[in-house]
Amino acid sequence: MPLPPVIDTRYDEVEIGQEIPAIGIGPLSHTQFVFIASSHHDWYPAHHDVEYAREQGLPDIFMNATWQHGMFQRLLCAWAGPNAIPRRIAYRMGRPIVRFDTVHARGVVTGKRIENDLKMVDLDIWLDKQDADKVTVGTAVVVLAA
Amino acid sequence: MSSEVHETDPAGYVYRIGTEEEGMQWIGRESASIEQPYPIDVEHIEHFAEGIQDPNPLYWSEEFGRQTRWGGRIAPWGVIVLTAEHKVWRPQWMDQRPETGTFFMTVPLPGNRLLATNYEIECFAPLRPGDRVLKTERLESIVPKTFRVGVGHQVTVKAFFRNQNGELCITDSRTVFRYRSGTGAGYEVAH
Repeated sequence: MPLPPVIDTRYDEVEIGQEIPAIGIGPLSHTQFVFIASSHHDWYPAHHDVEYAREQGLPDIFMNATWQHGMFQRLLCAWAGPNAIPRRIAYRMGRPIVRFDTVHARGVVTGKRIENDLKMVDLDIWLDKQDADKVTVGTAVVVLAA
Repeated sequence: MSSEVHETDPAGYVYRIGTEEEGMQWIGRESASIEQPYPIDVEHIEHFAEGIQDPNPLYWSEEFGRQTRWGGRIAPWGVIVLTAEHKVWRPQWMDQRPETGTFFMTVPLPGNRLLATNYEIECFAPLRPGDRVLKTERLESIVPKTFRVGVGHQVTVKAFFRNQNGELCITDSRTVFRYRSGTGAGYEVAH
């Protein structure tokens, strides 16, 4: 497969209030949950064992925090380009992401500033699923390409 | 293990059980710097990206990475979790399983289950294939809480990940609800 071109978002292109392109995944199968448990070495059973999760008072097996972080990093890097770096990603998880959910990661620019010659962009970020908005909400800081 | 009270959940994780007062005395404790058993490798990177369905060529192509400021392939930040031991089974656990080496479970509290609630990750320099990772932890806070799954405490632990050159690459601050099994109202079962 040919390599894609190196394209970075430029600081002067960024506007406050701008929504960045969303990304999506799903519906999430049981197999995908087991794959995530394996690929993250996260064998806490509430992530792959439905019976265990329900015994713990949870609705079903749910995606772990690291997977949600990965979704946000994918969202931010796809928008900002390969020479940018997500400096900080922080979020709070509300309703769990469970089997058969379809998840979209979204973001909106809330600020931009230059600090120590770094071109920084602040964003609100969140995850929606098919039947609920903002099940995980947070903020991010991205340092754009110089 | 000592005469301290421990409980093991169905996953085999070992919790040190104690009172809230005992736990609070641990706030501010820092762990020793420990080299993680597995260095960053290409398989970790690809496996992680696969789970997110992330096509970012920085994770898939050394050649693409050379065209960027990074000069080669880099790892998504979450790959730090893969540098730790799997902790499913070890030969030395045949007689007795040791405590899990993280403050989330070693701090004495009543809870014997975990549920992550908040996560903050900062990256100062990306990790790359071949990097060896050293980790330290600091117990930041313990806050009593009640959620639908049970009664317990939100425990925040900040981890610091440095590469073999001592460069701080990533910090990872997780807040986990450590609760007592069987004390919550629960959710409705999903269908």
